[in-house]
Amino acid sequence: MKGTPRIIFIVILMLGLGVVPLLADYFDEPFYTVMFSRMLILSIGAVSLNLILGFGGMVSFGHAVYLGIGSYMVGIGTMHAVEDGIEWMANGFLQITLAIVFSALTGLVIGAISLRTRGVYFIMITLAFSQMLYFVAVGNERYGGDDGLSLYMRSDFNGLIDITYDNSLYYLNFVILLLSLYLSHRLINSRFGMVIRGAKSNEQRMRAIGFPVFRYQLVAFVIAGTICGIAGVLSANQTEFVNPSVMHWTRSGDLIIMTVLGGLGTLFGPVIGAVAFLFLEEFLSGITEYWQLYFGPMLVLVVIFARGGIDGMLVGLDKWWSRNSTVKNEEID
Amino acid sequence: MTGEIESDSGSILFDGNNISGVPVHLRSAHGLARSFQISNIFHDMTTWDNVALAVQAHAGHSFHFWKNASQEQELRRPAIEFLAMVGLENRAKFVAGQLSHGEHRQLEIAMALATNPKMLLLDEPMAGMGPKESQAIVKILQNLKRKLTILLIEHDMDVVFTLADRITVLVNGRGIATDIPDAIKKNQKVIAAYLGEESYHA
Amino acid sequence: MNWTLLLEQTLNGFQFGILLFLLAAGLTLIFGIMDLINLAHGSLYMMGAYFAATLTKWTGSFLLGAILAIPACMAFGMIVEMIAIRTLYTRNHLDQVLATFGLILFFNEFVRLIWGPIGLDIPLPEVLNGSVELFLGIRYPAFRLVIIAVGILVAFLLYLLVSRTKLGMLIRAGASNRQMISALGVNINFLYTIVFGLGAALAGLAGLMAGPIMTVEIGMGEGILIITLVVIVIGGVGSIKGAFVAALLVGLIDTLGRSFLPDILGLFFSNDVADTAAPAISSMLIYLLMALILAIKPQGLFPPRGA
Repeated sequence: MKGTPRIIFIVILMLGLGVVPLLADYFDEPFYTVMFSRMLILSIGAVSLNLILGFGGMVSFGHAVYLGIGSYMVGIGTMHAVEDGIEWMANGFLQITLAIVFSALTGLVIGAISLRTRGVYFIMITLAFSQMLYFVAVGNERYGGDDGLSLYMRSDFNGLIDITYDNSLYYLNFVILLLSLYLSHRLINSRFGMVIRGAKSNEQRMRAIGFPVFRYQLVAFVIAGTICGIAGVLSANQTEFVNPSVMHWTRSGDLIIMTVLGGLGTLFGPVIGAVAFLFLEEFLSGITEYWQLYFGPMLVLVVIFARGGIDGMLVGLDKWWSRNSTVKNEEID
Repeated sequence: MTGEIESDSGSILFDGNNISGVPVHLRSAHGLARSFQISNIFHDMTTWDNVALAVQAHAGHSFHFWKNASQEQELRRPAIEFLAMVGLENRAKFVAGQLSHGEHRQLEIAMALATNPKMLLLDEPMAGMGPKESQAIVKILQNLKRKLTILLIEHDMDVVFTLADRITVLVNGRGIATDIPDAIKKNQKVIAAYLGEESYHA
Repeated sequence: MNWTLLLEQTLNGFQFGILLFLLAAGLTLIFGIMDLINLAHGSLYMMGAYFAATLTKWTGSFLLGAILAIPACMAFGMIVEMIAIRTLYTRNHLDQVLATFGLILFFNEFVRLIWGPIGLDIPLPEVLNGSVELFLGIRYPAFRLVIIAVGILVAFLLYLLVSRTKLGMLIRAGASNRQMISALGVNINFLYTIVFGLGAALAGLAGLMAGPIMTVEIGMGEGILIITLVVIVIGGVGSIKGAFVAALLVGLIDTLGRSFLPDILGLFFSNDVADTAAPAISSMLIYLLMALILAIKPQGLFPPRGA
């Protein structure tokens, strides 16, 4: 495993992400800090989706809902803090706690209904419920309705972390991404993770050997939603603006694309996918106004031809590399 | 009987409990294990992982989120023992999908054993197997039948008569005779329906 | 309670339900026969509206434009099927969802490139633009009545097609037995292309009839697509009868909920509460209905045989 192109790529990517603000400051291009900050936040969302989609085989098409819930916790809290002078509502720890609680509850309800069904029903129901919450946000005039809320200040973490600066927010995002990666690494290798992966591989068999699959899948669904809710808190602070479009169903689609593009069911795949997705968006929209004209068919081609995503290609590269290096060794012998 | 398909009538008594309406995953807790006619394993996991998962199913709940399951000795050690019982210990680190058809069957039996059953339900374990492979399975079953009850559904008459203690012959879903092997051989109705479906209790 | 308003809104709900049915019938047919979940179905609806808008402009007649737009949509659907959809039948649902999501992005951009970002209007002819007196002085827009009539006619024709014709027999055979249909010597690829084209024509018909009521714009198919998904989940995926019943149910509940929920809530709560809560709750109604039905019947109201 050591020193393969894939590992080297991932190490460079993660180290690279770690120094983006420093480089951006050095070259005086603060725009890149903001752009990569978005990548980190969406990476967290994709990592959480990967838990259920990649490892659990649950095709949830409503994952952006939790981004929305987290965002609105910040938006609503900050609005009350600024307009009504209730300062404690801008507290970041409180907002994260509320985001966790409400994401978990939402995940519990949506999961409990949708996990009773399978296949295409599951996809459609998760999609429908996320759209329902989207419309609730649109219809809620008290908190901005369709127009959303502008944040006049970022969350306040009791002075422990000052995220007023983009650089410090960037590192908060980075740390939370690392934590969520570590958490999913532990999860997928634990007994719990074995059950989730087993159910993806062969659900009927899991029941036959005595696993009540539903409750494990439900817990996984809730955990994934909760992590994504935290990403929502970060996202609102990043954009300083909250509106319903953050939970629009196409955002859920984007999260799926990132996860699949990077590599389903691999630890770092979602991060690679999120970074690649936003790069492509940036790159293509720089070339042409009609960038989705190319992006859409590209997606179709990725689905048809590159099944393992970018990570799958790296694995292929590894195989090619190890074959070549053994040949060389033999020649030396 | 395993609860995948609900029965039309009657009830199933197992070890003194009525399990007719019990869901699939709870039947396993009662001590009923089964293998499937079509190989039914976790193809993308290693052989060892397959059995370890079956051990895990009966080692309390699985809401353990932190410890690495592939290093837990209380799962891994019994798993390798069950693999040894069916002669697959040297295949432990292979991905299950790469094994041969006969080895899949052996793996299935190991997984069924790992759920610590009182009774093992085997649905045509020899289907589609060469004579050599089915010999290996017969040997494994001969060892096992001393430890637990086996319900075997099988077409291969040689296998049935080597292994069985009691045989029930089914024709069109109805039992026409139940007896020890020697009596069955002489039973007229059975001889008449000889090409039908046979099934037996060991 | 205002009875005229109630009648009017009931008819509106009916008319919305009919549009939903036209979309849901195609989607559920495609799923039932090809086992394909097609998120780009809403794009075909959008194409129907754009085709009709352009053809109406060219021919100067909405009627002619509409009649020409239907085969145009069917042909368009068949081309899409042959280029992109065909490779997806054997793929898993995740692949299908992703690829058809990619198609949505493409179609939206394609429309923006050709027709521009600004929405279009489809002008109605004099005859259809007015309203008709139903009875006792209650008047109702003529065009909405036409939509209802066309929808019921199409539902009847679909029923005949599926139950009486050879194509229908093949469709039913395909839904229940994939091997049998190839054994009959039917070119299965061609059958799939025809079915997809039929679904596209139905979606296009819905789009061109919705065009004059709402604006013809990019992304117009996306919102309605999700409600259509709710419809086919309620009706039972693969069932045309289920799609019909569920479409009318969803259309009525959604329309009536939006117009009367504020009044109903006002009976129990203060006007202030009712005014804030009603829009949010009424937009949730159909999803709550879906959750309720799934709790009782996880396969929907009319689960297709063998499912």
